Amino acid sequence: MLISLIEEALWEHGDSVAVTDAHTALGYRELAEESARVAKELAAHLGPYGERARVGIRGGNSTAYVVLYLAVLRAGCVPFLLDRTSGPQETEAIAEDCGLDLLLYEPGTPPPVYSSVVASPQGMLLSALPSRARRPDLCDTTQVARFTSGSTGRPHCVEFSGRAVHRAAVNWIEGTGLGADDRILCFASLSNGLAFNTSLLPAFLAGARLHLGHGLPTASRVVRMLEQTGATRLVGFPALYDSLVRRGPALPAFSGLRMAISSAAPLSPETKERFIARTGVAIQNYYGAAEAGPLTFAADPVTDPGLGKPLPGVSLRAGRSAEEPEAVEVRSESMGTRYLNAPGLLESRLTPDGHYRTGDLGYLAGGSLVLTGRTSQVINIGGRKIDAVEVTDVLRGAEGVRDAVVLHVTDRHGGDALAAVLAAEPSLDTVALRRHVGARLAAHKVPTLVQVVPRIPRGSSGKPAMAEIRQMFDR
Amino acid sequence: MTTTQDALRARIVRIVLDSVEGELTETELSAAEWSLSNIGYSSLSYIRMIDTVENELGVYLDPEEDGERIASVDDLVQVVQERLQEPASA
Repeated sequence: MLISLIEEALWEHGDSVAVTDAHTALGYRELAEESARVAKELAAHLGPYGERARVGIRGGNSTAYVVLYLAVLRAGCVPFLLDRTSGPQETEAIAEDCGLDLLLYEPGTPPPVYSSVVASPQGMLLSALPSRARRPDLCDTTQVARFTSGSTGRPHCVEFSGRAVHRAAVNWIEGTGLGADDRILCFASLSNGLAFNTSLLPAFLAGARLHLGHGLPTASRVVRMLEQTGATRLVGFPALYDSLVRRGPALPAFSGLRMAISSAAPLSPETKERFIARTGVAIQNYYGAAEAGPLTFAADPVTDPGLGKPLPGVSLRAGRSAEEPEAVEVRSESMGTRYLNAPGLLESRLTPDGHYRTGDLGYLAGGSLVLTGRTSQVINIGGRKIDAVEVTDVLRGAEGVRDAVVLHVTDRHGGDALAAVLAAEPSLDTVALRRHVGARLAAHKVPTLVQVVPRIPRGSSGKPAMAEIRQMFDR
Repeated sequence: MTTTQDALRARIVRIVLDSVEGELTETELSAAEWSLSNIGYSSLSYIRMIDTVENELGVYLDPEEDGERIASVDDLVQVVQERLQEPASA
């Protein structure tokens, strides 16, 4: 059982500091005791659901989140880690698709529809969700469920065995040298693979300290927390590093910082160079897949030609040279079992020998993975993956929109932006349109650049003429 | 509104417009009632805007604690003005 392995680590590290946020610090022993106490509190509400109740957790980074995650596991339930920015309709779709019984969420955030609050453990709200006439069965081995953006129009729920979650953490610890003297400052949301696989469980198994940043990672906040915590590892999305280098020469040196981890592709070379020049620390590009866990690590990001070599327990295949990139295929000890809400789809993405087709294109240079592009419609904005099909479907459902195409463009700051071209009347109310999308999808899935045209240009095959569409955003 | 307030507001409007991903005019911002959510201000735009306010005006904005108080131009002007008038911390 996953929780037994975690608790063993919690008791082993005793009085050391385990996790902190802006308001709370918990030692390892306190974390074990508090999660046990909250598990009992939760148990009082689990009667109607039997064993392995499905409990969604939707919240920002906090010690309360960590306590609740462990408490849900300890109570014998299966935690479903939702993106904290999921709106009510998105949450409802997931609850329906996955047959969630209960949802833990932060006060002040939109409540799930058709629900009733039954408790407020750790300052979060616990809502009972309506029972479903039919829901998909969980795999017998499933102990944790997380979500991926998918590419067919809705988030996919990946089921993980306890062993897969545990091995993801153990292999990250071994592959990256995480130790008890490390202090991890994590600004990525714990529900996201970047944080889940580099920070949450790895920190506790290694006996390290986990410091949780919450909200927008502006330079001032990150600098303050780096100074307060004496962090040795910093984990965040590219926007965090872009913000830090915007501080210019005022960025202080962080003597204790040994590793800075960002999600892969979108980090600009300029940010990388300026960050290392200011801090002496090279930014490590995290590469992982929601379905397969963490995959590579570059021992020296400065000299490594790509994203690093496979972590322990990872088999990775790609092209042999830059001239001949091929689909990246991976097999790991931390593979998800299947998609709960899309039967057969994950299995269909596996090769006969069990490698997962990531949707990335790339090649291996001296054993290090270099990415060259994508084979699917997933768009990466600031390190967050967005399913173009999902956003397109919502846009097409907006009043006055006849057709839509969603794409990635480079904005005038040289950054990544989510753009949409809409076939509609020129009088289309774009404020109402953004409200429409924002009510249905997470905020980062709302296109920031919108062009309205009479008709979407399409080629003879009927596919959108992307070259022509991209030109609409050229400055 | 005093000249100083006018100048501060103009500066903040310029920062807000410069921080958005695409092209946005003051007229469009005005039509959106000076609300940042009405113009689809993304989290990346917010980070750029806060960075610029801090770098140019020396005012620390906390996106968590200030929250709703930085959701429109009017609120931003008020918060920045308050912070500028606060005595420097010891």
